[in-house]
Amino acid sequence: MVKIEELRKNYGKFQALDGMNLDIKKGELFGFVGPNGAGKTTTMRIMSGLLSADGGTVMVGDVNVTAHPTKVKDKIGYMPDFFGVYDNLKAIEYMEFFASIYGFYGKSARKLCLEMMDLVNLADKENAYVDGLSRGMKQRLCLARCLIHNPELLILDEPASGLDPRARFEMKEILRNLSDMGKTILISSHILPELAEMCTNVGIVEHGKLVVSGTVDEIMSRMNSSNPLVVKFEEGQDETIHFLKENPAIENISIRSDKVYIGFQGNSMEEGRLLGDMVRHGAVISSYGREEGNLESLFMQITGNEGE
Amino acid sequence: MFRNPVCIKEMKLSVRTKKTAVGLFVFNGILAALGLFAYYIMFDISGGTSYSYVNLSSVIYLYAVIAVMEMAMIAFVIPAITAGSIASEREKQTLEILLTTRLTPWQIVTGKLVSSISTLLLYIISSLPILCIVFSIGGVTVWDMVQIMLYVFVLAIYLGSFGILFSTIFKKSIVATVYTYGMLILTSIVFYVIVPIVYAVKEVNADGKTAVDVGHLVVINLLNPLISVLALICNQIVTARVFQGISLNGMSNDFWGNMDPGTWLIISIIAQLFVAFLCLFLATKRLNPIKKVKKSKQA
Repeated sequence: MVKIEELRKNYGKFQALDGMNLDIKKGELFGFVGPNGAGKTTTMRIMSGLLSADGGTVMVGDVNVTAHPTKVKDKIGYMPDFFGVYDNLKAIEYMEFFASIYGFYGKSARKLCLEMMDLVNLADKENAYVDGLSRGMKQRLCLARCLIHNPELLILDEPASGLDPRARFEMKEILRNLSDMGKTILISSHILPELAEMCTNVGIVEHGKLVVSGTVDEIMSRMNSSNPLVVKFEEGQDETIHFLKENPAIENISIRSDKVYIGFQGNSMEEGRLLGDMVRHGAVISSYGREEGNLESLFMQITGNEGE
Repeated sequence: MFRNPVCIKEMKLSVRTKKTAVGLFVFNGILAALGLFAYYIMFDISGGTSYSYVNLSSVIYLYAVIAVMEMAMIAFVIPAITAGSIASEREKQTLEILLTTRLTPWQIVTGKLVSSISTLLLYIISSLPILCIVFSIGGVTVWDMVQIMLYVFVLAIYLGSFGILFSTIFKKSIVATVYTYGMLILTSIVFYVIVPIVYAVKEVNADGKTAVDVGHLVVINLLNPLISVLALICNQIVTARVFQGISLNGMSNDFWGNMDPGTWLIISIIAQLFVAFLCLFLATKRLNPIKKVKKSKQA
């Protein structure tokens, strides 16, 4: 559905995108994660035809967005990281305005708008003025507006930003439903755990490049392989540490509380051999294994501790 | 054009604000006060108090006074209505959303302009009873009034296009409004005074043997809405010679200086509409998020 290859964009001397590559399959709910300034919004704005690229290609379906930016408009629904609503309009009038842009008028437009509002749980707010809606409701109204022309791809830039926990939960539920309906959704956030709960795939972006992508489990297991070995000694800790320091494969050793963290790059076979060496050297070990990363630490690790 | 979604939305929004109602009240209030004051003065200087008769032929100038006042007030209102149109979308952060829809920049620009003109029509139609004061005296036909209305329409497109252009250039409505008023002052006052200044300089440097002449300089006043209004009124009620005097075109001895007000008006309307189209075209270019797609990228 979306294929981005070597996408580049500079703002003056600042390189916002440095060869971004991304592949999103039809029907995926793809989470685009990265710290502020990593290039998420720039990528989304180029995909939406709001910004020209300095290099590379963006394909949305069969449309080359970098070459024909106006042709992508019917295929996408773009929701920026701000509301963008007209305060003096009623919710239904706001929807009908966007319906008229796509050629829907009169009763058919009203019916369509009510259906979309129902989809985002705003059916009872049709006659409410937009400025009277809560933040979460405004966000859902914007989402309903994006759906009016039945786009194949939804591009949502930090849709849960600034919402309270309940509104976030409602938004997630709606996005899951849309994903179940077969919509391809690209959703950005700078909070990985927030996306991990609902996205089928996640891509982590840093300094204008996609650093890693895949399912959350895949990324976790890939990243854990570079985590330190965590060993809990029952006996022989000091002697074993002294012995390990002579091993050139050991990068560093640190002790935190009652555990020893060993920087060791190697596969599971080599990890087993190292354990055997320690046991033969007289150590009594009660636990041994790679440190389990959580999503927060994973994100910090990938983005070089620059994320929030 | 009235199916333009932006135009429909803008008209709906504009009538929901107190600004429009207050604007209409103030506009007509000032026009009525000035009109009635002019009515009294005209009768007074026409002999109403000094003589036993009233010179009705000179009272016809009341029409000129009211028409010029209305034009001046409309010219004053147009920047306020149009200059914030695109900038306000940017301030509300809705412009970017519109640009990701099927709407083209041209549709957005023309939708904004037409909705502004429709608001101005409210001002014009509501002021008709005041303009009709002149019918109590006679000497002015309905066609004369229609001509005034038609020129107001041109004026709205002309000045409105400046407002729309500046609205796309500047991010803040207030800055765009200031620049639009600046253009109004430039075209109507600065252009008007440039001609006599150049004439005066040439006269000082003249050798006394040849007649002083500003040449083609008067052409800049084709873009001067004030001169266009004078041309319209002079064409209706006075002679070409009077027009050449008050428009200062008479300072040129060439083709332009001797032009009759009717011809001048037609050429100036064409020139002003051309400039308006140019401004709208530039506004569309400014609004296009993808300024230029290089050939190499299209491969």
